Amino acid sequence: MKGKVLLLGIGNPSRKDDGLGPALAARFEADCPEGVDVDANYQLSLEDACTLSEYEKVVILDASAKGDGAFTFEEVEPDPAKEFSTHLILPPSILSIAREFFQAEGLLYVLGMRGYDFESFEEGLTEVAAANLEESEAYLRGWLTEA
Amino acid sequence: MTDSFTINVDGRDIQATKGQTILEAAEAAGIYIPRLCHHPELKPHGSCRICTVIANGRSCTSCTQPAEPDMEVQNNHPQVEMWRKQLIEMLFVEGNHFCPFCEKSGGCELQALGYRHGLTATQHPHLFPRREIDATHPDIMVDHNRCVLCGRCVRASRDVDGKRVFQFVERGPEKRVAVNSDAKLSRTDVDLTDKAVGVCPVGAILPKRQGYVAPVGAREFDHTPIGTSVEGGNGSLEV
Amino acid sequence: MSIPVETSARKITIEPVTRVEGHGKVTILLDDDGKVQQARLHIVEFRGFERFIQGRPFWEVPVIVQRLCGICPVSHHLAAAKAMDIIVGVDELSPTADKMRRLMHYGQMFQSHALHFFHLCSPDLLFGFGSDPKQRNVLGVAAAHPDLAVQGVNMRRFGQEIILATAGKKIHGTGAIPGGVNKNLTIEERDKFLAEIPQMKEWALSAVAIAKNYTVENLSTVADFGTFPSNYMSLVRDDGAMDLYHGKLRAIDHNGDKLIDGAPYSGYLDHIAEEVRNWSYMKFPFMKNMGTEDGWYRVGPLARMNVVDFIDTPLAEVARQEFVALGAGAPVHVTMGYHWARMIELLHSLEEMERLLNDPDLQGDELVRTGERRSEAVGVIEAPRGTLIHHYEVDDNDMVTMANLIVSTTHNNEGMNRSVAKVANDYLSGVEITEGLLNHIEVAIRAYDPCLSCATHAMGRMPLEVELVGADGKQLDRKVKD
Repeated sequence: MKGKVLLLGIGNPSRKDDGLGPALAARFEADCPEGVDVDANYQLSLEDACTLSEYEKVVILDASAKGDGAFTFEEVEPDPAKEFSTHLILPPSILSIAREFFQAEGLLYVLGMRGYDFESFEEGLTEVAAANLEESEAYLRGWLTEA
Repeated sequence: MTDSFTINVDGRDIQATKGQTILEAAEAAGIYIPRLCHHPELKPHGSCRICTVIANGRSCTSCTQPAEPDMEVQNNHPQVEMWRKQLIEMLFVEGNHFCPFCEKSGGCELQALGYRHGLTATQHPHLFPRREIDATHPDIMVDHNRCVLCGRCVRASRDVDGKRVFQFVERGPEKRVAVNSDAKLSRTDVDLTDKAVGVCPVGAILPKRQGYVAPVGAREFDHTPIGTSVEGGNGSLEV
Repeated sequence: MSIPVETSARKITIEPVTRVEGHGKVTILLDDDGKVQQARLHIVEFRGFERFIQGRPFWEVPVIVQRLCGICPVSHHLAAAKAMDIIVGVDELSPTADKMRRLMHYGQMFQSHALHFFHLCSPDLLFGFGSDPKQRNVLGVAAAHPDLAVQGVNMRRFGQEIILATAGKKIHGTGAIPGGVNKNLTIEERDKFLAEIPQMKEWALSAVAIAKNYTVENLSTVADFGTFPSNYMSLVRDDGAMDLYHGKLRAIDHNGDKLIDGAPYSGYLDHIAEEVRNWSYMKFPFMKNMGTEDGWYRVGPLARMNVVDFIDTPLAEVARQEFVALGAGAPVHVTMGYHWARMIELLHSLEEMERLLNDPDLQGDELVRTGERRSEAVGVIEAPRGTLIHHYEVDDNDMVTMANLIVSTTHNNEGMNRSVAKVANDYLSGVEITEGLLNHIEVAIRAYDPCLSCATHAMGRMPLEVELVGADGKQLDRKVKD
């Protein structure tokens, strides 16, 4: 039996702060609230549309290259606009596909954690990003108790 | 007077004999006490402290502490569990342990301990130390990035192989394993069949050119957690 | 730091760090008369990866390189493994190892092409790229072909499961090791896959039909779209057949005449060099015997259709013949033909998987061979997006001392720039980037299915940004796809 909520970390841990999503996913894997499933991958993929249909709520955990705060948390509206590359599928587009083809009824959220270094081919978060990870985790744990 | 007596581990009475350590007595009774520096064929060292238990109210390393009559031992205990988890985590952040591409993945005792204790992410920041690889020997490689300073190789080389190839140098954070040659491993008399090479619990001392030969699914800890062989094969691990 | 860039029209300055703010950025340069002088596609290419593997033992490399890309890790895994076969002195794998690797590769090809087709290109093909972009999306596809996305997801899953069964994991698999593989295929696994083949074949055939019908029915608009004559390159089997896993280098010119043929890929540096242009991090490969001006070429599905003599599986060969008929004796230069060609390869990969699954060698137990250690090796594979070159040097201590990777998208660098320039030239009026122009540029780039995942994909990075720059170097307009 699957949980009601899925936390889906997105990013490449070999590219510094791009690994914020998987890092937060790992935190939750280590200490996971009841009814919550956790997964992580390099990027969103077409079959995630199918996965979306199996949950009441899905939160995508991603790094963000923009923003003043430590993180943003928003509900995603479906948008069928498509991208120009198989290497980039955006949450609104995944949600559209999930609704149209896989009868998904759940809600999709994106937690975007501010990162700074996406270019170095190295493991590990920058210091500021690591602090943002802490704040994001605290927020998400709070949100999950209410969700 | 008999050499056999009873000790109690987590509420269960087990038999122990004089001269046995707590860890040995527990193991003989099918109770697994997690450990890393300990190896059954080597002299106990008590340095990694993962085998810490509470015996008669005091913490001690069970691989060195002799069992005593009527001893009360806590092994599966929240406090003990927390110590172990923190120790394992510190070992992860102090070195460069990249499980996804490490050839020891699936057969690594550190990784397996991490899984057994539910550790999939670290709370402390990684130190990412700069460490070297000694690949000078034709058959053996030492990747210091993955060394956890357990000292198994040091003891095995000294006590079993009779060679003293590996030894600890420096102290504190600078402590590391060195070889008894200023020209690295190639100039030592280490051999692929040495005990010191086979006992490394992690991917620090490796036979060369044999990586990834076991497919995913057929590696030592792919299906059962570390300790299962002690506990009688009842454990199972979600993969 | 900034780098001054010379152009025939003027001198402009591009800050290196801001050259690429998102995933792709296009700069269209106008001349004094306001005509398109050049288009420059900036794509974030992986940098620093070579350093990442230097100083690591060679047998780790096929596993490490998969961290380059979450979309086609298997291609990097296999290209590196092929190089490491040579390092360990193995020129010919055991039949079991060769076929397990091929199965893995066709599984990868199948899932990659399925993803591209169903997610990205089917809306273009079903509704035409000239139609209203609001219709031309997944909702439109849902209305017209309710089963299409489900088919796409299922085909992708099939490919992923093949990868899982051959590599051990979907990413960070370890299946291919220097000199062979670490597992064979069980009868149970084989039978499970064989049972799904008929359904997969039906879907693959219908995907070919969609791509073909669209191209044929809309030939008048499609034929010229982002199209230009070019050279093509791919690996081919010794008998001229398509072979996506192994072969020799062949290149043809725009008439179909062979420029390179039967060349072992170990000597790729004798044939190919890379030009550095100071506005782009991504290099521009060209054939040495043709020079930088004329020696550039395209790779990938379109190139492979043009370069091979035939396809050695029956259904895909029929499809190929229909495709090449478009060229009437010459190569097909139609850029939008990439989509049709990609679907023919989807079908071919499925047929190859069927053939392999029925081969008892997959249950053989000679997995690894050994030989005399060598110090330098090249591994090349036809990845979904085109020729992928891995080149390594390994020292006496077994450590990698040099790595050079040329990925498919790099080979297509000049081609993509030309397609964008062509589209800009045909659809730009005045000095405004209209929604239509932005869409058309996107469609042109999409045909190549460029690799971007070597880069990162954090939120807030623009998917595509197009800027128009006048002859005086001033930005005239800028549009971001949002």
